[in-house]
Amino acid sequence: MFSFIYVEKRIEKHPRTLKILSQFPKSTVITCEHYGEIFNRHQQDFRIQKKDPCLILAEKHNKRIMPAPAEYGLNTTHNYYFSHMLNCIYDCRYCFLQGMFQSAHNVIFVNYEDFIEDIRALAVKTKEPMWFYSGYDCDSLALDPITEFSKSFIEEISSIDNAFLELRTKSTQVRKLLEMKPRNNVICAFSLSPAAVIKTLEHQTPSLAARLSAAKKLQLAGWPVALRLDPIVFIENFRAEYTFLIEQITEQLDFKTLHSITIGAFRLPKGFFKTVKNLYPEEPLFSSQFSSDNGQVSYVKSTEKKILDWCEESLKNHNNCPSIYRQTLN
Amino acid sequence: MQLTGTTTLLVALKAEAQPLIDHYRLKSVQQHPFPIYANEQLKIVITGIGKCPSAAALAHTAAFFSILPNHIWINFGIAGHKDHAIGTAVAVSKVISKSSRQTWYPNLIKLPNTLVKPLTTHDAVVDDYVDDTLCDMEAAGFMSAGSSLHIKNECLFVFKLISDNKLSHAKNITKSLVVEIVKTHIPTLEALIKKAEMRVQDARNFELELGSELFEKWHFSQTQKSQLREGIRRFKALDKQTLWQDMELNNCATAKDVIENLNRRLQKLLPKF
Repeated sequence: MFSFIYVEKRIEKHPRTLKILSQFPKSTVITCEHYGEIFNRHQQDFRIQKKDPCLILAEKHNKRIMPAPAEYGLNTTHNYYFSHMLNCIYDCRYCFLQGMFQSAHNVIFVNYEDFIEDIRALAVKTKEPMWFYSGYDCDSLALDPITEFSKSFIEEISSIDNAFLELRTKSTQVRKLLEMKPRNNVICAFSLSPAAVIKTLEHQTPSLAARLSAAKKLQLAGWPVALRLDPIVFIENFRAEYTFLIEQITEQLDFKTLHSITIGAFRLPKGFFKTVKNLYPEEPLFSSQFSSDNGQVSYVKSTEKKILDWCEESLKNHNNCPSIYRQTLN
Repeated sequence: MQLTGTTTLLVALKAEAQPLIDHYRLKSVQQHPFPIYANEQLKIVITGIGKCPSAAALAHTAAFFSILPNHIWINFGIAGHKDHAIGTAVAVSKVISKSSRQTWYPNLIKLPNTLVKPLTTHDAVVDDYVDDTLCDMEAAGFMSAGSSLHIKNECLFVFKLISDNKLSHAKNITKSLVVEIVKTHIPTLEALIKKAEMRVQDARNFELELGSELFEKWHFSQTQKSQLREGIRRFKALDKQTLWQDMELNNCATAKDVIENLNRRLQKLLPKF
């Protein structure tokens, strides 16, 4: 899977490093002083790197748990995000990571214990619910069989009374969760798109059927499951494609017990949009009619509103619709 | 000088270049300041020994030849290592300058029968082979110049062949030995070039051809030029079947008309709610 793995010298003997490396016996291991020497330095080409990215094992020293952006939460007060990984093994053309990072390599921070310690330290500051989101700079579960992220974090975080953990993913790697007892304060949020969007824009991701099947397994096992229709992409036959998606959701999943559904139209920070458009100028997605407001590029306001209104209404037309949250730019 | 080669090899010695010149039937295109041999796909620059000549040769080639975006640059040649057998092929993972302690990480591609090792660039010939890195006299100059010239890291490779070790020091290197080990590894070098080319290929294609011929027919201001380029990009992205050149533009009196015409066509291509 990875031809070359870079390992920071100071964590080359870390048990998690050794365990991860043992799963890649054919990879060539190269030591480095700091992951920044390889990742995100200048003069890198995300598009070329994405064809054969390397894995980097590193230690995260600071800023492990960050306040979540205002539009990120589920109408909750205390929202934080963290990333045990940087970048994603999938190749979604709309992904903001392409604009945020110059590098397409995948970084895994192996010092999970430090992340958990930071989460504990934050959680004791209030008795109110505190949300921790994973899956902002990576897909939470895509590499779970290798990283054992879910096992390591869920057991620790679920023991904190006021802590809630949301794992955002497009993957079907739920085996480790299914081996565990379900936790009410751990929500697995699946990002779903119509098959046409998956085919054209979400390269190397599991099919819609596979994602729904993984979500269903978790539901049946008693785990809270949330859905994310974000980004919603305004494609040809938009209504037909998204109607069919919503039908598949309601048929496959227990709609009533879904934790929530988040909807948001495609949008990117202006600088990221420019970078990604330059990386993939031939991509039709970046040729739609957009407007640029408050440093963000999104569909023109009237279109964005129609998209979100239509989606919300279509979801609510089904009985027992769970809470719907809109992710918009204010 | 209009060469459109897509890969350039920088080698220190003529003996390192000769087997490749013969194999690829390269023609001499320049003798001074650096001898350069080329065909349509490949250029070989003989830099001379040392970091500075290596850096200068890269800068010279990049400045004086038509280099396409995502051109591949390879520092190729012989190097020493304490243990590895003479003739061993090595893809260099890290270049360390012995004098400045600066480091660079060239790009890597998995190749058959090729080790992956770090390399130290020295200012003079060494024969003590103290650590587990390869030793040469050019790679740091090559990487430093590549970095200064903003060449993408994905386009910089260092590929070396072991010519000396603890048992057979650098003083024993002969021209015929160099020719022999280079000849042996032409297929590996070729595999490196092909794989590197493949990686950058599609990133290269779309950077071409964006309507500059229209600038001769109508007068476009700078703003209009960028509007036109963006419009053509969007048109090409949204309609991959139709050539934008086939658009009816003969009725357009001004550059503004051309852009409006293009925008009307774009509107028709966008999905409607």
